[in-house]
Amino acid sequence: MDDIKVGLTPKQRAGNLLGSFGLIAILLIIFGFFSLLIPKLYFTWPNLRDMIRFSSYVGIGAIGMTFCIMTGNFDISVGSMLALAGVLGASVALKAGGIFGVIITMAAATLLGVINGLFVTKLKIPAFITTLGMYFIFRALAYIYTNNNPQYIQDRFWIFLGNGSFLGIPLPIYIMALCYVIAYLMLRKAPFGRYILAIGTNSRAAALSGINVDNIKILVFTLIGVFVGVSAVLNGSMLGAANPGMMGDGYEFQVITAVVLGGTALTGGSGSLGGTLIAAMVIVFLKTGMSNAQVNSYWQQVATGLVLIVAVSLNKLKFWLIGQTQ
Amino acid sequence: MIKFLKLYEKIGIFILIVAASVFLAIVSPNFRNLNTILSIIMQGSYGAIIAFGMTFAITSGGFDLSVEAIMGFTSVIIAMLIPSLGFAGSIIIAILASCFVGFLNGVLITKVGISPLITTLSMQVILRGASLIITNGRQVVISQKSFMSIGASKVFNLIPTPIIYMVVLFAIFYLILNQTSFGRHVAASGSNEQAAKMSGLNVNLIKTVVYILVAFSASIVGVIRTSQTLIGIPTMAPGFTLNVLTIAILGGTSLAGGKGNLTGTLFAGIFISMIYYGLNLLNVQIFYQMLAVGITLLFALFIDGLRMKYLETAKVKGIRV
Amino acid sequence: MNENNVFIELRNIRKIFPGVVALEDVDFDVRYGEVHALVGENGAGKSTLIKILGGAYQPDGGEILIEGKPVTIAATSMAQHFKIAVIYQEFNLVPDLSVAENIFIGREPKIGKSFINWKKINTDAAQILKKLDIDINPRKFISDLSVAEKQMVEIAKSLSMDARMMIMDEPTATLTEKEVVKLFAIIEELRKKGVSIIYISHRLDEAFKLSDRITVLRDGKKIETKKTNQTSQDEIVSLMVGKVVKDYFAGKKEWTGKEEVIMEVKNYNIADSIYDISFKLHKGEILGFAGVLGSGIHHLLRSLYGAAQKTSGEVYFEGRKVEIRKPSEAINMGIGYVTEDRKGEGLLYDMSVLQNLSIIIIKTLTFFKGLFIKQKKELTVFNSMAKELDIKYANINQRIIYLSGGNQQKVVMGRTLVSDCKVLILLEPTRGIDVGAKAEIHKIMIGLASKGISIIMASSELPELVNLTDRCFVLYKGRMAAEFNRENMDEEKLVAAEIGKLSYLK
Repeated sequence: MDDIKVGLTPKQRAGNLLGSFGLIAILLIIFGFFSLLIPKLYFTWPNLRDMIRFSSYVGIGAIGMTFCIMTGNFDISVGSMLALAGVLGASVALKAGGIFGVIITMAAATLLGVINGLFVTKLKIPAFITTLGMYFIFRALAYIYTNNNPQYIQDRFWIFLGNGSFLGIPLPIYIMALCYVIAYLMLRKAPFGRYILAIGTNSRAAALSGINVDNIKILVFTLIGVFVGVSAVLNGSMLGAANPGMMGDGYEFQVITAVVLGGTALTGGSGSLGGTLIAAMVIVFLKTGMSNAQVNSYWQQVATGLVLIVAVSLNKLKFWLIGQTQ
Repeated sequence: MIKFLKLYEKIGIFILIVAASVFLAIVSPNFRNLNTILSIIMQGSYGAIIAFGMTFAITSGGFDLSVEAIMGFTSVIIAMLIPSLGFAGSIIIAILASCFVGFLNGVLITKVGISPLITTLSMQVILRGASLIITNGRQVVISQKSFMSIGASKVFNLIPTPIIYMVVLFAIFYLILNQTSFGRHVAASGSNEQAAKMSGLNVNLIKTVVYILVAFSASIVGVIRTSQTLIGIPTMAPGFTLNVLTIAILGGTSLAGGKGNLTGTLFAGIFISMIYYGLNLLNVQIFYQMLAVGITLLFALFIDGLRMKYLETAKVKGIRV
Repeated sequence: MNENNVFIELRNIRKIFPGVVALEDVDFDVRYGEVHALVGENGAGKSTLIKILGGAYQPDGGEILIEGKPVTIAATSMAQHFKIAVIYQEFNLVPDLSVAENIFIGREPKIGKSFINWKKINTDAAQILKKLDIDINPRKFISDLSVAEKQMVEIAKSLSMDARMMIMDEPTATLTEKEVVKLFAIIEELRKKGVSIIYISHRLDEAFKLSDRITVLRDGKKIETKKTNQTSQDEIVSLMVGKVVKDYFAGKKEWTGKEEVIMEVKNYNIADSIYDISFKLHKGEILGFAGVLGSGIHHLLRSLYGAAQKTSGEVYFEGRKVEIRKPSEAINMGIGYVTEDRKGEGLLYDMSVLQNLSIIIIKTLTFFKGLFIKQKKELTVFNSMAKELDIKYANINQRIIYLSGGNQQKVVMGRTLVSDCKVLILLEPTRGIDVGAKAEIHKIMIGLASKGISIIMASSELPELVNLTDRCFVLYKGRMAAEFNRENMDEEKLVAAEIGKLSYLK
């Protein structure tokens, strides 16, 4: 029969609603809740500005991960990658100046991304376990390289990148916006975006359509490196140091949470960058709110874990409602 | 290639152990001493014991990243309860609580349908947070010295107790995996879940029990480690999950599921301990251990990848392997 | 045989899928110890019928009686309860368990409550295997067995569950001659034990060798049940095909092939599936490939597109010798491919209609050195193809899974067509779509051929081949069995050649 199913069932409508507005609602509820609870600390322009500034840390790193999860893969190594790239760059900055430091940080992270991509595609082992190995290797190398000493970042240019402002708006917000615009163009306006969606939704069909699946995957892992590199530069700048043990600790968890909370399906094939961005803000808004409200940091840790489980469950609910075959 | 892989599957880990032993015996006079060897085995027993549980999880087609948090959780519960309940009672409650955590993992994975990666990664974070909340972030000193006899004494004044636990648990887990119908159903679930379901097996229940077993084995090591230090440590053994995964995969348990090799796991645990010993001889920093384990994991994955690839092509070509 | 010894009886069974009546008032019965062959072309309703018996589908009408009592087989586990075993193509065996463990999975003999009694499980398994005269060591792992051996283990497993009826779906498709003989002996053995067997096969000679009765299905209806010894293969073939040519064909198409050869395949071999195949493809020709399961056609066509590897042989394209190692090389050359497994490797189901259609050529619709998509151009290409193929959709951002099967197929075909291919490989182009859409697809194919595009088509629907193709090759067990042209081709001959009864080579 050639009848076309146009109308959506109420269930599918509910699912789409959950997908489009659920996240913004969560962000507003969190912001509203803490604004009422601790208005003097929370409901202020400087606080809001800072929260968005801090969102760049998770937000930028989550761009590459969004691509990666869209293809149905994972990268667990991002936190260690951030640390290794950060300490390498910081140590170079001490000798050769901030610009070189920033370049080395970016280049190192990109290279680590390439290495991940090669291992994942050539070993033909699930990406999460390969990158889990890398998670420890990168971290160990960061320790070994620095002898477990923090590398201080004092270069004015580098410090300015994370802490300076232009027209009253902090630079990291501009940088984050730029990253998202570029990523959006790649995902929605370039063939590359079609390829990663195709691989995530049906990699056999993608291969039959002449797409070189391995090459695209390597590119995706490389992009993770690039965006983690940007995050490492900003993170180092905001903290004024690259610490081999502390830098990027738990980063992979926050980044994956942002992507999943943002509505990207763990099975690949669909997702949105806007969702990832808002989810990154949700994480920071919640964390800042809990800190300002003096919630014990251990409870905060429990909350982060619960958010991921809830995010995945909500995603499952959404796809179940829409009736998507996963 | 297939022949080599088949052979490696059978004796690969033993060759690694023999090679490492010969090497250590040459470079280190201390190594040629029974007490040193026993101490290496003891150091290996912690990873091996948890890897027994992990072997079950991988055989069933999953894995568990929450084991180090379970160790800390056990440690904290014992430290908090020991003043009022004594060590026997607190150990039992700590192990039961850990098993409950494993049960939660199992339910989230099988009933809610969240992937093992996300479930156990979240559980790791949540449980670590919970342990920190229980002790308010402190390490808790245990004053009951008799508790030390659990993990820090020697049988016949020679064999450290952890080795005994390892051997006993090996025997139990080995029997369960290879001799009971439950163990074979675990393998069936990981080998071909669809067929297992069609044959009437309750795969969800089987997998849930598997995650309880993992938590149980992690909890046992938590008890041993706590008894040795007499301190309840909420953030016990950071990064230990990697060791456990590496041991299980290096021992020949394939990530493809269905094939669990507990003997391999036992010896892989000892092998990792030998690497640590060797690195200590070089007097390098502790971070090199982390690096070595990471590289060993990649090596084990490489072999496992080759195995899957060649068995797959062999299957396509109709070659019997 | 006692006529009233009926084990299972189906009365007026109906099964309706959206847009298709899969089974229409089918009556069917199986007696104790009877081998009942079920034959019919693809889409005749055989697999629907099996799935109803196995509890995988529920009938929309009619009743099932087992030993005279009406029953509902509500789930696959219920089939087990009624002692009905279905032996599917993909076996339900666990590769990493032993033969004995698989036979007794979930019902292992034990010592105490949990320990497997290895001695008993192995001797019991050996006993069952011996009863069937199967020589397999029960300690062997399933992954070490051949396909035939796996099948025998599956049979042994069913028997150990005291199955009263076994349904065998194309059991000989992947077996060698010797293994087939062995299987037949086992079926004979089962029959003696009073087990009823429904035997489904494309190979008529097997049905005649084995069965007591033969039931022919066509277009979801039961045509007839015949006693095997009172009928002939010729009669069954004519019952399967039907006398009337199906009305959705406008008759045979005009000859479109030209003299010019666009592609030539020489001495082509693929490990264990294709042996020494050579042929020429002319410009504007529709070349058909026919063969039953195990013919190797799909391997051959996949490999011509670079999606599978050949072991030896040469391919010439437009006179030049070429090596096609991956799909992108085939696409660049001008070879297109439309899969038979639309769901598994055709549809990008999370993506829109537009994105599905443009995925192959998207890299050419770009500016700025391939960085950005020319979205207007993409839309133009889409609109013209959608118009040409008459694709019906609500809007271009609609997800492809919301289209009907026929429109999905058009999008998947269109995806290849927009890449301006010179050779189009179509596998089962009308599988799973309704009659109206089939006619449309056929019209499109004829249109393409008259524009000079060469089409290679594999189909298991014989009328389609007879009416559309200029020439048709029949492959049997990986070898060229027959070669027809539009003058000497008809359905009877094709069926005969497909089942290895007829060899007709130029």
